Amino acid sequence: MVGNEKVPFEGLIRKLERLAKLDEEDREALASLRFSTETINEDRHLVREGDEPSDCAVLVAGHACRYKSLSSGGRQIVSFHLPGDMLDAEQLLLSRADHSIQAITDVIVAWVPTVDLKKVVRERPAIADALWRDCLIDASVFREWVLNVGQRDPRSRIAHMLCEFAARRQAAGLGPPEGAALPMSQERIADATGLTSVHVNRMLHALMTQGVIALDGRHVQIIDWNGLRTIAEFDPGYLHAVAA
Amino acid sequence: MALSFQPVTLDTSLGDSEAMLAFRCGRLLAVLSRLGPIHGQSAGRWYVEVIFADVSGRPSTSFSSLEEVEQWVESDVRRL
Repeated sequence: MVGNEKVPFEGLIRKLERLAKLDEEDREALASLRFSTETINEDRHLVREGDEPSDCAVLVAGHACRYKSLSSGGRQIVSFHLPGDMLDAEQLLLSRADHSIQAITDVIVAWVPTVDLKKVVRERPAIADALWRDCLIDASVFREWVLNVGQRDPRSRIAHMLCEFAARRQAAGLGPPEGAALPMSQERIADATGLTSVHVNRMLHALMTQGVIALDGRHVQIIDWNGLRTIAEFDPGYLHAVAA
Repeated sequence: MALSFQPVTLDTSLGDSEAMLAFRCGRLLAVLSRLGPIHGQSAGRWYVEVIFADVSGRPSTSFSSLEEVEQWVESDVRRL
């Protein structure tokens, strides 16, 4: 896993700097937040719907998803996350988790006491602006996902989800879109796109036949970024500063 | 309630063209496809492409035989 648990907020600070003009004192206030790190294995939960966590989770290494589920077991993944993401900033103001957060790879998480984070937000307006923008961009991403699941055909729906993840990954300094193995399994792509894993498998093979991705066991690798963007009609404007 | 089946070929380039129409009491209930080699360990299983009914519980995505499809319909599929 890439990520330094001794300086767990490097990725978060880099991300928030793209969202608001932070000065040295802002960066120091974030870097000196109290935290405890935890390594969590793939498939384990960080937060379950209904929890009332006293700490916020900052992803230091690895990948996670947020999802909502039905009593029948069906579930909808609503977002994927990268190192540097604060996974539950809404806990600053909403006490009860209205969705679950799960590790999709082994992850390192820095838990920050909500009370400390609230204090920093009240004392440092630029940090408050950055976190507010982060939440607004999350909402923009959710709107795009509603459009994706509701309106795009299955092939471009999967292509769009892959493009978004690759664009955010690049913006987070984790490497260019082409060549990287994306961490989500076909089952998780299915849960994120409202398709069955059988149909996801068909669409991934179709994208592979078109020469825009390669399949490496469970994982997808982008090999033609421009081709994939064209199929998805991917316009990263809705990601605002997260992928500018 | 027994189902009756009628083999058909799906007009698709995705490789799962061998298919079966499933009828209940003479009325079309579902379209099933037989999964091809791209599906690895699931190749040869029957996949419900579309079903004209309510499905209670979490639907299985594929079945090892048409008999298993019938059992699933009996236990989990209600009329709309």
